Amino acid sequence: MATATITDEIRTHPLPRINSFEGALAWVKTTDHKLIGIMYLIIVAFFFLLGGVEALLMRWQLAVPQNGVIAAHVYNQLMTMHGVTMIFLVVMPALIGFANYFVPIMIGYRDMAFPRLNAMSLWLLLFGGLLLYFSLLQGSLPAVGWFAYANLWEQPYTMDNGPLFWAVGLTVLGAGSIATSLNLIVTIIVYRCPGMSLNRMPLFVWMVLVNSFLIIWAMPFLTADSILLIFDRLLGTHFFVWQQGGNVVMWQHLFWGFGHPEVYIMILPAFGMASEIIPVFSRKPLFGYTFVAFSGVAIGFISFIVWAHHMFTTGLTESEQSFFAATSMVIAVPTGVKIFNWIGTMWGGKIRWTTSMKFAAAFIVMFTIGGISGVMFAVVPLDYASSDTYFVVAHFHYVLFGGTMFLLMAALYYWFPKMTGRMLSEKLGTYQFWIFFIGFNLTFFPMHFLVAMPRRVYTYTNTEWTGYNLLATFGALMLAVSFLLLAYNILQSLRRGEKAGPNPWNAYSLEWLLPSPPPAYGFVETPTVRSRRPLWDLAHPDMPDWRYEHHGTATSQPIPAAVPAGAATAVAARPGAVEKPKFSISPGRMLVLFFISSESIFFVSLIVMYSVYSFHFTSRQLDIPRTYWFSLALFASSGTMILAERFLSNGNKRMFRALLIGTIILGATFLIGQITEYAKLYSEKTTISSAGEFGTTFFTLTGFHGFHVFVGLIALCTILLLSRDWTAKHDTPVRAVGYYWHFVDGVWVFIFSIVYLRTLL
Amino acid sequence: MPTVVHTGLRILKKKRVLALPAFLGGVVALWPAVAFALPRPSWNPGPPWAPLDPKSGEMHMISNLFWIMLILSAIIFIGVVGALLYIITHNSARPGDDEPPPQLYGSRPIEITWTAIPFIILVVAFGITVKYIHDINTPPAGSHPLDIVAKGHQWYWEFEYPTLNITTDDEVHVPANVPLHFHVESADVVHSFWVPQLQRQIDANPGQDNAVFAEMDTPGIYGGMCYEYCGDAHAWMKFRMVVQPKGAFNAWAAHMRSSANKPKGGLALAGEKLFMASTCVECHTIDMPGSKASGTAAPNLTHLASRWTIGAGAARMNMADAMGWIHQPSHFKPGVLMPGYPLLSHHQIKSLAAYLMSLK
Repeated sequence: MATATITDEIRTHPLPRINSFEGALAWVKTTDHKLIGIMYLIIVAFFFLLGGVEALLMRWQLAVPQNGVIAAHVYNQLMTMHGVTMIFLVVMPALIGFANYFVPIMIGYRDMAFPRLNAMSLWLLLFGGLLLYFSLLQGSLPAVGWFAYANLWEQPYTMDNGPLFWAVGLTVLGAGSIATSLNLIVTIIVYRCPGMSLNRMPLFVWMVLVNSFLIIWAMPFLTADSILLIFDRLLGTHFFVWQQGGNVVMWQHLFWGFGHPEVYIMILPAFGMASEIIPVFSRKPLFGYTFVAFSGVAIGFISFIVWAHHMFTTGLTESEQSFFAATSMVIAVPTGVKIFNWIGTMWGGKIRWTTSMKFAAAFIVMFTIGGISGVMFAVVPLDYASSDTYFVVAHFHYVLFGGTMFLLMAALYYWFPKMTGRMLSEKLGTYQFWIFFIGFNLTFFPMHFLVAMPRRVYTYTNTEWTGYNLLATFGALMLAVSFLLLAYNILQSLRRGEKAGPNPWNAYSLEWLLPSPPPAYGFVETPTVRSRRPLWDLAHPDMPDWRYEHHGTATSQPIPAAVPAGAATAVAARPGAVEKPKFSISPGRMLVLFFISSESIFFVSLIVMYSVYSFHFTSRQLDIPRTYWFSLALFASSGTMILAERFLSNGNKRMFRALLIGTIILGATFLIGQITEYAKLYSEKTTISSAGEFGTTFFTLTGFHGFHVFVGLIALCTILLLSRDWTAKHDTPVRAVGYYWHFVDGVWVFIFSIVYLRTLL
Repeated sequence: MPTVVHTGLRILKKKRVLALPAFLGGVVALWPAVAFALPRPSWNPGPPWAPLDPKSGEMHMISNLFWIMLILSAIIFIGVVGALLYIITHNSARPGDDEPPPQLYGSRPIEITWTAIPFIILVVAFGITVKYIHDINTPPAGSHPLDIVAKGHQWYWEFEYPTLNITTDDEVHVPANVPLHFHVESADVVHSFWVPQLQRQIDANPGQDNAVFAEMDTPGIYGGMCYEYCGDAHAWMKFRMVVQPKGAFNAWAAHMRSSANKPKGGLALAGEKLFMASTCVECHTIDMPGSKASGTAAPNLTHLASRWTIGAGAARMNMADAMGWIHQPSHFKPGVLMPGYPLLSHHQIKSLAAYLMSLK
């Protein structure tokens, strides 16, 4: 019995100890969002060590001209992996890790919507990252830059397989972050506690929501690019082989189609952190909540139409340049609004200068510098004279390091007590802050003066650049020291840090209701909120937020005469004041819908590639009537699927299964049609690698559609196998697969029109 | 043993305040030794590269724009920092003060103001941007610019003057105060063409002809290089632009059109024989009657010795570096496509170098 008790304790302990097999296993097999969040941060720390050492080695090499510490090819690998590591294995997962831990408890729920999917995302991150680094075993890490511009990775320009590891690794990481984003979206939409309407959601949750949409809609562009890279290298297609009609600039369009939203993916949740931390330590509510939330949404939308500002030197037309200059300037407005609102929040407050607040306030200044130099690039002629120089390196490190990294530090000092139950040392924290702050500025401010020094060179000869480079190298060392100090602080705190208690900062959001660290099961009783600051309402029953905060919003709540006392069960306002939002579709179906929206971006990328290339080739003679008949089979299968769903909800199991079989047969018919068409083209020597761009684009586009049909068929067959005893209660998987199936059919309408019908014109 | 460790830890804990500055001091003291490990002799083949010291009309526009934006930026920055300083001095909590400050939730007029003002500033900036984009990318009306094809190779720039019938590498001569039209192309991967003091940066995309227009106003020598990462030797894809008065430029052009010098000395003559009999001729061109050297995969050597460096900035144009280069080019330029010839005897290498150095 004793064993059972111990196991039980390990299972329910907030932080299982890893010094026993049972405890370690509890971490590995967990689906608890809190443990997963912590593991995200541990994985981040590991990769941050790699990325940081890479950066230090590069700074060592660049300290003086003609330095001989690092060879050129090694430098290029370091440069590539530093970028990839910091972006995909540090900044993104750190933000996602915090989101994993805090979003559910900030909205008063006990876990993510899909805990097992959540665990899968975590392990995809770890193994995706390891996969990238395993490329070392084949001789070379990727050395093509984190952006891997075509056609440098084509043979013969790169003979090793580093670029393939880049492509596969990023696809795996992309799948993981899309999965976790879908999970976050459904969690936030469906599982908010009673009373938490969208305009009462903590700003961090808001920004994570926007961010998750950015991830699911931006990542597919990168996936498409990666797939085209893999096809070019392994299947002999020539999307980017310009000698055979490929277009290297299309790579850049797709890449930055992902890459620019990515920039905001790396900063928006950090903005959310700032909007949590600054009000707490200023002891005021966030100034202009609605404006801060909507500026985040605005940034999210605009970030999809600014991509070509990374390409002002590519040779775009004047009108294209003007358009992207305009959008890039417009996106500065909501960003500026955020900065002004944070200052407005601090203005007139009573600020407690904790380490966390120091980092948050320093962030405002650092990010302003990065933001201003960013606007400079939107003034296109300045981009002509600074693109790919150290001025750009300075700019984006001020945004990413001065922005996100400062806020990650602030968030760590802020939330560490909640996650571990122990305070970090404020004294060590203050030391760390100043070393960090000075080191950061020493590293990156001098780079503004290196306005003619090219990026991504392993050495230089111009002696007038030496002084700035020396300073930068010295600053990098200081940064390393500050991170060592942080590591020491964390270890010390874990061993004998001051006990935190549930709410050491007198903070306002729901996670501070829970004990520190929160128990595995989360809230004992689902909390109810009436305002944006439920814990403020609890602490100040005489002046609760819900009485005042709705100025300017359309709510007209009567002010109750008596204020309810805050109950110990953490109910922040009268229960039942607002109903929990209800949704007509189940979380599973919602997940599939958002997944489909992500998939359609992938198909948009492929269709764009086909359309752009199709201007340059003469289409092979395609048998349109024959394909039309097979297409009808596919379209008919959507009808049978709808009828099948109807019969299931009416309880007619026999008809349901019959129509499901009908759907499968019709789908398979379509696939057979496609296979015979491929066989015919192959017999005419038209293959995916044959000369001209027709084979390359045709087989890639239709092949991916065929693959999706195939996956849909597997899903339908799985349902057929499982559904022997299903009733109307089981309609979630059926409807979800139904959505996917209709999507696949819908995509074919576009492909059939663009690939086949257009040849009739 | 554990007691010793324990005591040590306790001392460390007590001295923690001192330990940190000591550690930092140690890093500072040791750091130069680390940073200067294995330095190679430093030399600078180019003049100072200063985009803010413009020598062409186009770069004048860009640098003016930069100063305008810098002043605007400084105003915004000082505003933000000033507000923060005010907050730090006036809004910091005093110890023991537990009374919350007035709870202010926002203000719509203020929000609208600080949304509108940046928007208006940016509308103005956008107007200026559009005008400058147009002006910088449009050649002066009615002018007949001199065409120069700048072609990026891994890893050197090839310059062709179609109207003057000249092809050369690593060094582009242009007449001052004459409108120029650079056709920027690539022979392999994406490069980017930029002389910071003279014109805008433009990518060299394979399969695409990009244009840069510029008119240089001050004779002189200006550094330039590839600014888009293009592989292992990206750092050694330099060139220089020599802006000359018209007469000097014409003299240079006439010299470049002439065929290669016939070597006079015995060593150089032996070198020529060896060159023409070796695989050198597969990749390099040397223009002279009856020359076997007509390869186009590598720089044109017809007037090699008149140029500034070997290997696009990687080695000096002198006998010693030329010999070292032939022996093992990747020693100077890691990743370079030219193989080394370590099997040649010292004498053979010397004669080849002597021949190349005679190609003025």
